[in-house]
Amino acid sequence: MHITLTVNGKQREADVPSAATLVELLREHLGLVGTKVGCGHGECGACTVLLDGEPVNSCLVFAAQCDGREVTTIEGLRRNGALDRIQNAFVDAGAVQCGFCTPGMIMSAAALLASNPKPSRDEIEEAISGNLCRCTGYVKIVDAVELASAGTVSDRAGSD
Amino acid sequence: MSKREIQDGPPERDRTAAVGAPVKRVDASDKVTGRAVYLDDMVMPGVLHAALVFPGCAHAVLRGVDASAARSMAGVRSVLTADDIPGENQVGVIDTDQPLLPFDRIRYEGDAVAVVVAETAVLAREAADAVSVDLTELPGVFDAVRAMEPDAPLVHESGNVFLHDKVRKGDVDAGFDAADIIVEREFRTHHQEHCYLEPLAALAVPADNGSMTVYGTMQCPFYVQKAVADVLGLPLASVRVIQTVTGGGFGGKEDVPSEICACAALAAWKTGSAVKLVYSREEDFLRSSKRHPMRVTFKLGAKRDGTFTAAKIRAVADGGAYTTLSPVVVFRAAAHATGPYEIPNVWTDVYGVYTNRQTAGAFRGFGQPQVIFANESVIDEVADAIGMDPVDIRLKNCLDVGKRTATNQLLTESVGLRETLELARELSGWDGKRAAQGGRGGEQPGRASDARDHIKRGIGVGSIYYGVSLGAKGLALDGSGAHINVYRDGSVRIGVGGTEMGQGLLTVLAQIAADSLGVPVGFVHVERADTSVVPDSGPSVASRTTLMTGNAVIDAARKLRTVMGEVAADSLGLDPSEIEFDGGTVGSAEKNVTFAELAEQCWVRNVSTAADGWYAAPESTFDENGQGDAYAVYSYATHVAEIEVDTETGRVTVVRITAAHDVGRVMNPVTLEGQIEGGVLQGIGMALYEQMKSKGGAVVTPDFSTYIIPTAMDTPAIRTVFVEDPYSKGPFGAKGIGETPAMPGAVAVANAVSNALGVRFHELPLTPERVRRAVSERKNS
Amino acid sequence: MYEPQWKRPTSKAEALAVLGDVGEDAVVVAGGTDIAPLISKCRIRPRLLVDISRVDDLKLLNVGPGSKGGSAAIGAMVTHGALARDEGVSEVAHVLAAACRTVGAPQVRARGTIGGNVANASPAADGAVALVALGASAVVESDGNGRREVPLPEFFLGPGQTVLRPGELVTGITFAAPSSVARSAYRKAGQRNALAIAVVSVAAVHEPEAGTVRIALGSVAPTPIRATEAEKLFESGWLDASDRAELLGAVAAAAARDASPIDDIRASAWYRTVLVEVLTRRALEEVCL
Repeated sequence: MHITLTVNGKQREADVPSAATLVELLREHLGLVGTKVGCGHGECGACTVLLDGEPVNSCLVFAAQCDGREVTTIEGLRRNGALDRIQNAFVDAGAVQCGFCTPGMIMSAAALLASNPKPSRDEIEEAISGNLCRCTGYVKIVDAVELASAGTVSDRAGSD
Repeated sequence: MSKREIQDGPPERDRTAAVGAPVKRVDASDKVTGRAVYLDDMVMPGVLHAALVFPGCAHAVLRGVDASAARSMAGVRSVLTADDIPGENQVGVIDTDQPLLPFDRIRYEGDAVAVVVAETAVLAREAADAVSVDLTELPGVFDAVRAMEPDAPLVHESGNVFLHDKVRKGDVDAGFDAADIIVEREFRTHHQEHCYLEPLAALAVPADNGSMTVYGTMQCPFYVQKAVADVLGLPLASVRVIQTVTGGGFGGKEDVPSEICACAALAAWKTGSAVKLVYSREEDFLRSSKRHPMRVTFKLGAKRDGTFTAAKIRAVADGGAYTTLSPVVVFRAAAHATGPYEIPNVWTDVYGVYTNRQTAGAFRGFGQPQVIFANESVIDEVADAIGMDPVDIRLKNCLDVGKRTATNQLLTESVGLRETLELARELSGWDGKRAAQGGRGGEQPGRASDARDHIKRGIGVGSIYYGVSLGAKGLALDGSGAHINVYRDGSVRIGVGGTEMGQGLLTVLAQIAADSLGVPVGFVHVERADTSVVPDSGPSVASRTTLMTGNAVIDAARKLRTVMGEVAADSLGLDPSEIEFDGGTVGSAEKNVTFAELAEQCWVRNVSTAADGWYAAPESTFDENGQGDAYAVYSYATHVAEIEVDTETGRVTVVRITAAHDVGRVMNPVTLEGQIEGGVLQGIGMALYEQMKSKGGAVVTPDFSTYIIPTAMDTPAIRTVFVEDPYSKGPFGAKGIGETPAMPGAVAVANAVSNALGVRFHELPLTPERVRRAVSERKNS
Repeated sequence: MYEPQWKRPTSKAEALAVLGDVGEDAVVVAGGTDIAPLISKCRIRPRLLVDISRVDDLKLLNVGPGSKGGSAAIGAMVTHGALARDEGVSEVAHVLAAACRTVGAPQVRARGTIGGNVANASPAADGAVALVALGASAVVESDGNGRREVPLPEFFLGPGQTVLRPGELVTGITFAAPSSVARSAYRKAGQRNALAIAVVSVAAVHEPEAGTVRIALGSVAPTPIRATEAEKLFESGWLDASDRAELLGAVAAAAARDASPIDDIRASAWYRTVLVEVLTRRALEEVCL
């Protein structure tokens, strides 16, 4: 079926199988492979993207339901080749290890900070509670979101 | 916080700018932007997709595979079975008991009998479901102790008990005779799943000349190379394996990727096309190895003053359907079974047993967390019985320089255990809390509605040691290579055989290379592992990679400094002995050139600025009585856990973990701390949540909603502290850190719960139900 | 290859008309958090999917101080996240907000809807258990047969089973809002603090003036249930009780007898019974003392 939607600020179109999920649309039809698949059933959060500004598991949303909607993925956070403050904070705080949970984790953090610019550590933990990580023990991820909310992270050009 | 005890300076070079600094991860930018390319992110025109056929039973005679329906489906290119394998149908890394595609017998639920290749992944899956398998089911055996009985069903004709490692030291009977107190208990642990976030995946690309390139998420590209070459009947030189960005390993991507990569390569060989195979999470859980379930009987004797006199251990490890890495796990469990203490009389037997359950293999800790649960629990019981503090009894017996291990190895250097105990005690506030909290109700700020005396607090400790690298039973694998190429502009590219799986290897190697060549870290680019660049460097496991690959990088850098130093001496008019490489310049304080200028001079003079480095582990031994210098060096750690337990629901909350680690030398405090924090949470997972359950060999916890790992809301405060007691043969003094963070936490939590409740636990995980039942039983008794 | 058809109505009338047309072959997709995994795991293969996520008249939320003592209404497409953070819901039906806050994780709460939670008929459904304690009914509509309100205990027939007939849609939830002095609480035991399916859940709504309580239990029967014997014991003794804490203990014990749990992968029946008593007592202490 034919889907038209806004992804990272740009209108995109694709023909997808009708049972396709949003993550299939993003990865297989739009080439946006920054969004990861860790389980396929909404149990790990690796595929988290923003749908109309809210964090969702893109493996649980049908592409058909996204027609006309607005999606932000990890690729949409960079502006003019520079990392977003959350991305910078993840680098600075040492919040990245294997990196597979990282894009989804950052999208959950982005959703939190958009609605709650100065969250407590408990609020951060709740906001990323749907994103499983097996490497970090979450400590430095929470540090990173705290750092991003404090606005003292370094600027870092992208690795273009 | 870091406590440094630098002795005479690290080996090789004494100036460090990068080593020890919190250098930002070199791969972080790509990972936070989504640009890092994991296997399933790779795009290749015309790629075909594979899926596996699982008969879905645990033990059966395989009579035939009928793929006619699948073959006739549109878009299906091929269906391969054991008959299609041109080489050897074998992927076992140590023993040859594991066919890639079983041909006569199904031995566990994860055995796959066919590979379906189709134009899309969905089609491949649908076609795989259309393959019918003719089976005669057999009675299975699903418990290792049962499997040891004479009338148990045989998993392999050779018998179910396939391993027995022992340690015989001193006179254990005399040791128990000399004891004032003896405690003997039986302990059980269960399958634990790695849960790396990136499922297993492979891409095989055939070339016209008959060679094969395989990409994959993996820890051990040289294992994969061997397996693919064997299965396809190719020389090793015709198989190139390139590790892609790897989303976690923890041991789960040690030998298991050989299976998926060989399946993809077989499909690519047959179809002549590139073939991708990506496991679903359920397939990954089904088919990947697990931590061995163990049943451990532990008997410990001690004098009234706390001195240990004897230990006797019998452990049975459920290896599952195939040998895989069990020999290494069983050996390690046997060598370390008594814990990091000097005990004069030891009698240890560890068995590896086949069952029709999932294969058990490498998982962070390699057989030790199971025996640690036993030894560290029994020590607490002994301490209780003689009225001694658990930290004191550990300090009384702990290994130190000049002491001997259970294998009678004399420790000569880098034994930081005592300090880890003292630091963990001090930083956790152990003394006051142990005296005040154990078993008493604590006030509950912010929980007014539950503010009753049903919340009990407890504090517990666990100490461990870990023989770094492969030790006496892995010597043939225990060399590592590095290739350094300095370009004419002074930039440095390094190829290695060790793998980055998330732990930070690329960053640490860049730091080591930078200091070894006296250049800034930014000059250095370390490439992920590729079997075509360096000699077989063994596996990236057993906390060996910083040590082994780091030393190989240092070796290559030493050679480069010699060659480039001669050019510098010649052009600067200095004696080669006056040449220093430091801070991006080369020469003496008065006369020098930049490293980049020197690289250009070498290029002009046609002097090679590439060098290969190699490091081989020192000799180690383990004789038929389990005596010898089993490992070259050991890492040490102590964790203190503070918990609260709700005695009405049985729910345990870990409040804080204090983790003290002797690492030899801190390479990068941020990546090190991150590795420790992650390991701590895996230990808590083992303690409280994680158990891969099966019924009749069928997994009943096949996904993340049934196999429970901690979320961010289940994480305690974690305080890490480093002890630096350098190892003279380590890179800049470093030992290994990969495994140890996941090892002492589980038993520290269990000991803390026991402290809170006055009840001992002998089986993990401490689910709320298990804890609640123990509370009931205590009340009733 | 599986290629279902989609219908994407934009109004309730259109949705009901579509469902009336297609009957049994259709599966309704609201947030998709339950349906998507069933399809991706090949457990169901419906030929037609009806996406109601664009039906704005199913997103109305009428719960607030104004509805106190009167009737509260929640559209089927209102998400758990919206209910968890809505101030009116927190004030009037705290138990519902508290329950919705324990659903999955933010990603699931952002998509999962209260209508889906009810229609899916899981005995562990957090929102449904809270609604049972609120005495809520499912509003069921269809193109031909109009509208009916079905009290939730009658709506649920078993795990995944409801009284919904082909062509019918749960369009919303309605309940008589508790009085302004009522108090309510939700207690849940899961296997961890997030992404947790209830091992046992308890919802309680107490009307102090009437001396009544409604107690609902999750994951201890084929459907969410009311602890009716426990409620009766409470009502018979509360207003005259000399030792109220002791009475609550007895009521909690009665709730444990009201439960009929089974052993499953998450817990044994024995442990669930223990939890029902503990969590009921705690919930009652929170709302009654």
